[in-house]
Amino acid sequence: MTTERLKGLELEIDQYRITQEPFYLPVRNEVELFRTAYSNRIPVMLKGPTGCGKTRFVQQMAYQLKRPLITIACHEDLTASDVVGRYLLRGDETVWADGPLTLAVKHGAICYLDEVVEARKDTTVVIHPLTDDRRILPIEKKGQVIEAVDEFMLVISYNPGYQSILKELKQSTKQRFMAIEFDYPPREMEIRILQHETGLGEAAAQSLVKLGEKVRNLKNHGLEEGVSTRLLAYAGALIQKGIDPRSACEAAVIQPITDDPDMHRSISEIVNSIFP
Amino acid sequence: MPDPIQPMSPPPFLTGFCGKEMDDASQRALFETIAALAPSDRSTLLELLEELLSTAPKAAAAGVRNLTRILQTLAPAQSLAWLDLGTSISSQSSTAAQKYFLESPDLLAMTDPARRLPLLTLGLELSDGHYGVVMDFIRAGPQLPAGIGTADQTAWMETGLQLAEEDLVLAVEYFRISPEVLHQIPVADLPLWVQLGRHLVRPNALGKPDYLKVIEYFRLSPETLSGLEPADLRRPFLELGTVLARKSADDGMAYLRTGPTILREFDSPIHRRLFLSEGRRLADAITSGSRDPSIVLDYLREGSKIFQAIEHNPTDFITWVDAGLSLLAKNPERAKAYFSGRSKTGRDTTERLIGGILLKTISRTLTLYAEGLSGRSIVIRPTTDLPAKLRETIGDSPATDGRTIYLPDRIRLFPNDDDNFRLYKMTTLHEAGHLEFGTYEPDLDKMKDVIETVAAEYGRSPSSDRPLQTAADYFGLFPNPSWARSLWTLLEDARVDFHLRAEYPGVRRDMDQIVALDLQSRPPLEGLPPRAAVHEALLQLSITDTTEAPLELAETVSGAYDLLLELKKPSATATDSLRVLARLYRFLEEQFRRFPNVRGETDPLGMQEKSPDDSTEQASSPDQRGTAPSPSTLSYRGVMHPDWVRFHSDDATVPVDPARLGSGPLPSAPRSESRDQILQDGRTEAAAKENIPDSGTKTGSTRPMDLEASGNPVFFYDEWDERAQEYRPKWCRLYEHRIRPESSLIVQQTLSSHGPVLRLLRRRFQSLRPEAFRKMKRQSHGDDLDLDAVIEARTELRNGRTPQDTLYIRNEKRLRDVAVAFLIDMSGSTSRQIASARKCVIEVEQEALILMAEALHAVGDPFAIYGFSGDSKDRVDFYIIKDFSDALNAAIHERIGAMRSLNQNRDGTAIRHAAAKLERQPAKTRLLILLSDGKPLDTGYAGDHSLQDTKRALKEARRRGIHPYCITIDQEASRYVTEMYGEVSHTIIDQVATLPDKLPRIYRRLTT
Repeated sequence: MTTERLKGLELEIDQYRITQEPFYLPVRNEVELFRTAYSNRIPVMLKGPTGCGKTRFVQQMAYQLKRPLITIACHEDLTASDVVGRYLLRGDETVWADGPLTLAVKHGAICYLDEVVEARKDTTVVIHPLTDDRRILPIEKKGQVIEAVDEFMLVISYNPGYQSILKELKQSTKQRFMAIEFDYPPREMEIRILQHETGLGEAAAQSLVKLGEKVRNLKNHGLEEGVSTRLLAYAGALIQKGIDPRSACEAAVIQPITDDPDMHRSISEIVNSIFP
Repeated sequence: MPDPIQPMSPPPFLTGFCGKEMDDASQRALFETIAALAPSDRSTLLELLEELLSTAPKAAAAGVRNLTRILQTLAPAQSLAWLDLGTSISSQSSTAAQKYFLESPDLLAMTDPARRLPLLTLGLELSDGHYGVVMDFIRAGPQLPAGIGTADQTAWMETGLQLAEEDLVLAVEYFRISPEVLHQIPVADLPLWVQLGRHLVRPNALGKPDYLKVIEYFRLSPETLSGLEPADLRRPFLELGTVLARKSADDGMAYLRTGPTILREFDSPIHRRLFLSEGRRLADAITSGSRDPSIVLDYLREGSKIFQAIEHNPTDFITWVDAGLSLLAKNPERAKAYFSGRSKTGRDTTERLIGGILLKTISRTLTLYAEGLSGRSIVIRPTTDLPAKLRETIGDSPATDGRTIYLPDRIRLFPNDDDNFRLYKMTTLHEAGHLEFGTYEPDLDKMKDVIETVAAEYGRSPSSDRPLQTAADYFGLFPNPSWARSLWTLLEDARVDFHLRAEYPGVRRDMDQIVALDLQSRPPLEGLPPRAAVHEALLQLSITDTTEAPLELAETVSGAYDLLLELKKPSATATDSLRVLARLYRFLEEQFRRFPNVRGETDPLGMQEKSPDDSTEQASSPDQRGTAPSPSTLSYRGVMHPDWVRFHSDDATVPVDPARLGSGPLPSAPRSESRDQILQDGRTEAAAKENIPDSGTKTGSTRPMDLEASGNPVFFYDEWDERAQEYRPKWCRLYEHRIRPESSLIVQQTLSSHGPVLRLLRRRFQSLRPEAFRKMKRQSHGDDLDLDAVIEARTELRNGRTPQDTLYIRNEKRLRDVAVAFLIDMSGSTSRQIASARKCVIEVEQEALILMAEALHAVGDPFAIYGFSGDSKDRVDFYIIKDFSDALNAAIHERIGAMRSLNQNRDGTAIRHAAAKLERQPAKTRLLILLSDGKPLDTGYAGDHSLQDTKRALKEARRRGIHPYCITIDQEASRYVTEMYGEVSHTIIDQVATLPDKLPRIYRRLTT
């Protein structure tokens, strides 16, 4: 956490508003579920593999609900102070600076804790009082308790797939959220997403999606995680810019997902089989 | 009437002698014969007789008695030579002469008349000094091969004479054996043959010559040499043997025993010659460099295999030998390892020479490729893993049973490995295509009408008690099931290839390349019998859509092709293939009615294949059964086994009856999801195959230890050969066992008597547990303000100075992240008693382990206890007393109690295995503690080799991020530990009894 970031937080909450509609294709009923959760003030957990559109979905929902979106990327060193806020030394006095969570609670933003399992356990506990019907955020250091405004919504994302057993989300945390499950979009939809994201023609997008499916078959057979829609979109973008499809897939699909030479060769052969 | 004896009356010395020795009739006969001789001969004869009678009267008696017969059968000159030789012998030994006179007449009678005189003349020469061998010499006469002329005979004798000059024993053997040998080699090679034999004579322990080897050599020679064909191979064979025997009689002998067998393995004389000449090159290099001659023996054994493996390519073979020779110049030990096939360099060289691609090197790539494409778990295995019975029918063709794809273990069809890989890839793709496009899961419900039609048409309805289960059952409804099967194979392959080409445009080019090569070797349609021609045409059409059908078949082919095209559609399914089959079968059957000879064709091009079902299902129609191989298909298309194509139906699940699979189901392959599990368990393929001695659930009293039955996984480990400076690949075989708990006195005693010690230990080790958090002061950010820092900062500020901005306290979590494995030497020497403690070493070790286990339990570090012993490289036993995943409980104590002193110890292998297990622990710090009581010692594992291998194994462990630590309780260990443990930290405990006290201390020290 740098001071620049914290300073930034003190600026306008408006900068967290999403003004342009992000592209998102609903796969099932996730939009409806999310809206209902929002109106009933139920915190939401988005489950699913990396790069399948969780973050994009939250952005879309924030846009639709016209709420600011504050995203906190969780990591091992993220402390409770980092999210709640802390005293800062300014000149010869200490000044309280709200953390992103406090900001969201006060302004009724959607607070999105991305990859929440990565956060330390003591940090995760901070959000607990916000997730039940009290909807409060105790700020220990100030001896305050803030009640969340009605529009505040807590969203976490969680990828049950690849983390080690040490990073399993605790039941006490899990059971405070309504869960919406995400997976890679179905074929037709993924083709449309790729076309939209990259401007690729239908045939090329189809081939990329086929590649995606084949590579995802290898999950648990040596791959921790299948290739994400995001990576396919990168590959599509490269192809669109005139890079040879095989090279594009090498750079945007194979290299990012594996360091294992055998696996590398296998996926290359799959790429070669799909792209003439 | 003139008296015939008148011209010569026998001299008195003769009449007097004969009067004593012979009856009257014999005397008369002798005198008459003598009288018939020409005067000059007669006088010579009488002179000789006189001399003989005067020197050796006893021998002379025998001579005189046989003289008549000699004179009557032999020419006068021969007779004189005979007598001359006898006289010469008798001057040296009367007994020998007597023997000569008695036995030689018969021998000479058998000898070729033209050869008698030379033989006797040479014998005379020989008798001078070597009368002892003359009889053997004469005896050889009749046995000499017909082609031996006088000159040859002389040469033969002279070789013997020379030998006799040196060694009479050898000369006797020579004359006994050489006539037979002369059937195999020319006289000119005799000296070589003898020379080799002379090298085999070595002084024995008493300093006297040891003839055993040479006699064996001589006696086996005729057989050995006759086994070498063609005859011109024999000289180089002997030459190589001579070079070898000169260096070492033992090696020479081993060569003579094994060489011919090895040479016979080569079919071509050219290859035999090359093999020998290369051997000679090696032998010469060894001689000139004074290297170990046994390398040549290694060469013979290993080289022949390699020569076969590289398909007798002379250039490649010479390259292989050259590589070995260059090693020989640098490091003879490595060369020995190279030629004996023990070295990695050797194997690599061979692999390179053999060329092609090995399945094992790319099977993972192919597996992932197939799994990716088909979206299923797939196991790729070499066809050599197929049950033998199945292999007989399908050979090395690729095959799949729906989950396992069997591929040839090596493809070297093309000079270029890219092409070989391409073929592997296409084969995998095609087989994976069968899986992806549902070949093995046709839908019975969509087949019912066709099945009924076929059954009705051919009158072979499926029996009611056994519904159709597999495609094989379906083919059984046709009059010729084998033909139906081969047509189906063709249709289904065509359908799958069509799908593949549509789905994966990238493979089209690869497939086209393989097909183009394949088609070159397809038979031309012209001249094939109609049925085979149509089949061939369809096969070509199935992939290229063009063929050149003979005119009279054009209609048939085009009709069949129309049917085939119905499957070359994106919507076509495996069920469609089976449906189209019925139509194609009927269509072709009708068409073939036009060709009268088709009906007579019993088995054109081996259309009928023996299917495992034939024996039971079609016993009534023996004409349908054939044994010919299946018609060859395209190289990347494998054999499909209709038994594995199981109908599925939505109505009812068809029960699987394993007995129905004639050849039995394929050996079940492990599901790939559980692959990691398999690694963990160590249940390797080998484990399944090895016939491991039952490790027993029985509690036989003879068993040293009670092991839990767990299918004993087997592992193979390399071993370091210090002298050759390389690994011996897969040298040692390690069996993993679990010890069955066994209550023992030592455990109870330790637990009860060490009560206070245990409590102390627990407390000490508990204190090692790190605090959950540690406060880090003066951080730039953190959970709390650091009051001291804030006050300081305020002071600074008041004083107008810029304060430090590190004002926070941060709580940091610290983890103790240590995993430890104890590896205990359980060799026989641990049974040694320790005087001071009235216990034996292993008991002290057990005591130490029990305490250690308690201490570790207190600190919470994951730990494992392993023991090892063994007997030779093929049996290294690795005992799991406590694995990382086992909880510490009474059973573990009892397992520790069940440890026993066993056999030998091959430390390196055990270290490698323990390290491999430890490596899988997620802990940051991984510690391997080796507890040994002496030098490693095992069969073929002693001295420097064992020290160096152990050192190497420890080094490997370090390289894998493991910290090895060695504790030895051998008082004399200081002499070798530094050599063995090298840079690895170690300690010597000289008072064994203190081990239980010291072990936990050492551990504490290591981990704090």
